[in-house]
This record gives sequence, structure tokens and C-alpha cells, in this order.
Amino acid sequence: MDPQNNSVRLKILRYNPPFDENPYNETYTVPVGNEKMSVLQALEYIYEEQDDTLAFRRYCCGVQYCNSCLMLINGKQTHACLTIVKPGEEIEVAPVKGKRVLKDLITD
Amino acid sequence: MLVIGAGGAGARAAIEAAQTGRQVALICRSPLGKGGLTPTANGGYQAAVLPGDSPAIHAEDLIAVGCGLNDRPLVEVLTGEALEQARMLEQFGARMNWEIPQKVHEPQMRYPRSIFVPGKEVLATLRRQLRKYGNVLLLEDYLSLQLLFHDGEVVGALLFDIKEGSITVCESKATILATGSLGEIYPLSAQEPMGLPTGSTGSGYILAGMAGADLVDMEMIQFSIVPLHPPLIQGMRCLPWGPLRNSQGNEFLPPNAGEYSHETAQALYRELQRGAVTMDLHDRKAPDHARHPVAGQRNRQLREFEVTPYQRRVTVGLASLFMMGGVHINERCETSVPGLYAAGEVAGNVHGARRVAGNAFTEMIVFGARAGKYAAREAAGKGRFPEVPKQQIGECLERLSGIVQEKHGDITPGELRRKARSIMGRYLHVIRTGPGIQTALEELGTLEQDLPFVRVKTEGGLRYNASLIETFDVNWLLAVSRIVCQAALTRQESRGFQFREDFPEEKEDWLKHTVIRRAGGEWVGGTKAVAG
Repeated sequence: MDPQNNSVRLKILRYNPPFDENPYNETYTVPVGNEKMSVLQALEYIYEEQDDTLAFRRYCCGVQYCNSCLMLINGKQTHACLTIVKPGEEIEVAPVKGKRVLKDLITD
Repeated sequence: MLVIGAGGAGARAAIEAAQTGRQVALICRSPLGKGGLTPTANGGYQAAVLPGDSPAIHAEDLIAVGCGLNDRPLVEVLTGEALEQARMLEQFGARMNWEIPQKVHEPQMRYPRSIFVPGKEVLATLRRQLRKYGNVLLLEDYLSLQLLFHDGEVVGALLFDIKEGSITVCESKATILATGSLGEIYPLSAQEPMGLPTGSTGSGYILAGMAGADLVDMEMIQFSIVPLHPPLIQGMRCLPWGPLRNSQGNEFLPPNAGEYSHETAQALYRELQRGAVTMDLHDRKAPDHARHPVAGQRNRQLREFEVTPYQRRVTVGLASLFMMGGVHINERCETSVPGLYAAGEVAGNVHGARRVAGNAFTEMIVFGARAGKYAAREAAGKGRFPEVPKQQIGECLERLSGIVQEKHGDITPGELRRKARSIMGRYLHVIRTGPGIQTALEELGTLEQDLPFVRVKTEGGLRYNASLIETFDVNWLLAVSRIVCQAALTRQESRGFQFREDFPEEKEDWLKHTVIRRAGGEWVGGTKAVAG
């Protein structure tokens, strides 16, 4: 991890059937200040500032109930709202396994 | 029958209607339980339970805090049916905590009344119950774009299927609106945990208003203290009721006013104009929240992130929390338009000028059940489906194709949303003035002119197209912001959460609802008597 780097890179598995033949990775760089930020907030930043075609469930119940932000983060199924990104990190984000992908990170 | 919105009120209404055997379509803009405000709620449910207390005393307390602007018959329904509906919820399988804390939740209350059932427990219970009925069609990831009306009666709705990017027409003999609130018209909202939207953009007020329904007391919006910084807890209802300090390090909140009062909100607002306000409790011990599973779980998580005021200084802001005003209803949840019912936060005239904490859940369940019951009764009395007006569907489709067609320019819905929220935050917060509201109306007018030019990206199709959904939302957000401005301008006095610097006194002859109604292609302001 580079301590000078105050951004985080998110490699996101994207897929928009039937427009895309196959899923592909797209990488985004999100500035992170001195304060902690969640993966879900980083996705919201990407949607608002960089790419409004990115599809994920833009919702956070704040109490670990709704599970609408469950996704694979670095290969592990977890809540994006409760996963903290750290400056200098590169993380991989993909939809949960075993479910049909409707678009990008949204599954059936 | 059609139920629009599947938070607590909509889900409760659908169960009640389904019990009568009617065919019910329940429309939800997210998967059930994975959206809206109900899952975010801590879960106080107030009812008169303790010895000495009664529904009548509970009602008097609510009306006193509501500054008399509540319709008494509605408040009496709320307090009168609170206990029976809580027991019904328990019969459905909800785990309720009947151990009422000894301390009153708000200082003006004569008795403590908070039964405890978290929002997630309510929704999980109602969802299990709904599954028992084969006559409920659950339409998840559908957005209701417009009510269809014929001969002055609501006869269905035009739906947008978010999954497929397509339009569906739903006919109904009776329609219930349970679409929740409008908190997102402000830059900081307790309706946006971690700053993420919950879809609280005021759609229901516009659906009802465009169908001709009366919208009452739309200026009455409750604000409360939430964290502003660090960003990980922005907008979350996770702060204890602890001392706030201004930039000089002094406490400034009025003593004994209460956490959710307009006096507290106004004092904080004034202080925020001068500088940052913080909460720092690092010399205190954090409570264990043993009795409060939701707060306990949340606080354990936040402590792990080291973002609580017990660990570090937290900057606070003033956030929209609850909409007291809304669609005018009577005791049967009928709106002023035949065929249309409303329940939950979208309905007005229950909480007056200020809601008492813990009574939104009671309202949601009591009036949700009532709306389901009376709408089913109306539907049962109708032999066949009323005629659906082809012309309205055509006009709506035309507007939609206008929204998705190729545009020159690069105005995004997010940009309009940010600008609109900033206008509302500046001029329509807890302290307002006539000229300020006029300025807001002018600035909103400029944004409205940009609406037809919002660019929706369609290259990837219309399925799960977030910018298209946000465009629908920003249309509602702008329209409902205008309505809030007009209502605030109409009420030339200060009462509860409406404070006008140019009319700082509460006036007896203003003990009446403001009404905003659609007439001649615009929103027109007026007044309406409070039901006694």
C-alpha cells in the first residue's frame, strides 16, 4: 500500500445483458480523504461523479438488515455498506455468486 | 385493488385487503424490505398501555405537541387502535418488547408509551404474512409514474417496470397510496443513511396532487440532529441525546425543549449559521443498549469503525426527519378524490405541526390497516373495472419518450437534484422568510426550465437505468419542493415546525390547514378547517 496515495481503485465486474456478450472488468479511481468511506459510498461516488451507467442497488438501511448491498468484495460475500475502503487499496467488486446477474452488481 | 408502496403502511394495507379476498397488486420500487424508510427505523411504537394512561390522554398529548393542527378524529383513531393493532402485529409473529421504558421519550408526554418493535421486524413479519395470500401480486422493482383518473375518480396507475424498462397499465377499483416521505428535498436528511438515497423524493404527493387530491400542511417538515461528519455516519440516526457545543465550546440548546422539538431545531439552525457544531463524549462511557437490539447492533458496528461521539468529535447538522403534512385523509383514509386512499407518512393531517417520536410507526400500522379495510370495501361494491382513459396513457407515453430521447447538452438529473436541494436547504429550512421563499420559487423555476433537457443515457438500454429513475425522481423532487414553498408562503404565522421570521407569532386565526391543490395547470394555495 502506498501511503502517499489518497485514492482507492475499484475493479468492478460489469455485465449488461443482452448488450454485453460477456462480463468485463472496469476500473475506477475514487478519491478518499482522511475519513473512512464504505464500498457502497465509493460506488455512489462513481455513479454521481464518473459513470451513471453503473448499476447497483443504491440503498442503505444502515442496520445490516436489508442485504441489498451484498456483493463479492475481494472474493468474499459481504455488505458493501460495512466494508471500509482504505487509501491506496485496490479492491475487486463483483455480484454475489449463484444468482442470475440482471445488470452489473444487481442480481435476481 | 392497487397498493402503491410496500413499506410498513403499504404492506399492512395489502394484508388487510387480501383478507377480504380481493385481488391486490402491491407495488414496490425495490425488492420488498430492501428499500424505503421502514427498514431504517429504530422501532418505537407508541400506545397508551400503562395504568392511568388512556387513548384520550395520548390523543391530548399528541394534539398539544402538534400545536392543535392535528385532525382530532384521526388522532383518536391512532391512539384508540394503537394497542389492538400492536397486538395484531404480535399475532402475525412480530417479536415485540412490551417493557415500556420508565422515562418519557419526549418531555411533553404525560406517560411513557414506547412499545418496541424494530422496522426490520415489522417488515419481515408483514412479508411472511403476505406470503400466505395467493391473491396478492407483489410487483417488485416497479415505479408508479402516474395515477389514471376518469370522471373524477382514480381508476388505476401507470407503472414503470425498472427490471425491464417497460410500461405497464394497472387497472384498479380502489387505489391506496403508501409512498412515504419527501426528506430528500433537503441537502442533509435523516432519510438518507450514509448519505445514500432511499427514494424519499415526494412521488406520492405529486401522484395524488396531479389526480386532484388536496395536499395539506405541506410546510410542516420535522428536522432533527444527525451526524454530518464523518461521512460514514452522515444522516444516520445514531447519536445519543447529548450536549452539543458551538465553535466557542459553549452549549446552546434550550433546556427541556426535547430532542425532536422545533425549539431545539431552530436553536441548532441559528448556531449552524455561525459555525460548526459538534458532539464530543469521549469522556463518557458508551451505553450498552441491552434492551434495544437495533441501536445496539448499529452502535457496536460504528464503534468498530471508530466514528461514534464516544470515540471522537462528531460534527452535527440539521436533517429532514419526518413529513407531518401530506395527502388529506379522513378516518377511512379516503382522500378528497374518489377511489384514492392514503396511509402512512404520505398522508397529512394526523401529526399537525410536530410529530411526537414513536407515533409514526403507530400511524403506519393503524392507518395502513384502515386503508386496506375501507379500500377493499369500496372495491367490493364495484361490479366491473372502471374505464381507463386511453388519452392519459397516450400523453404519459409521449412525456416518457421525451425523457428518453436523444438530447443535446449535458444536464444530468443528479446536478438538478443537488441544485434543488441546495435551494431548499438555504430558503426552506426551519427558519423561513417571505422574500426567501419567493427567491426559492424563482430559483426552482429556473431549474424546472432545465427539466426537459435532462440527458438520460440510453445506450445500455432502459433496464435498471439509474439515471432514468433519477430523472423521474428529480421531476417529483422539484414539483414537491415548489409545493412546500407555496404552503410555507401561504401560512403567514409561526407554528410548530413552520417558523416565519416575518410572522414570528402563532395566530389563533391560523389554526387551519394550508391546502395546495392542482387547478388550471398549476398548484394553488388555500386553507381548510381543522376537523375537531
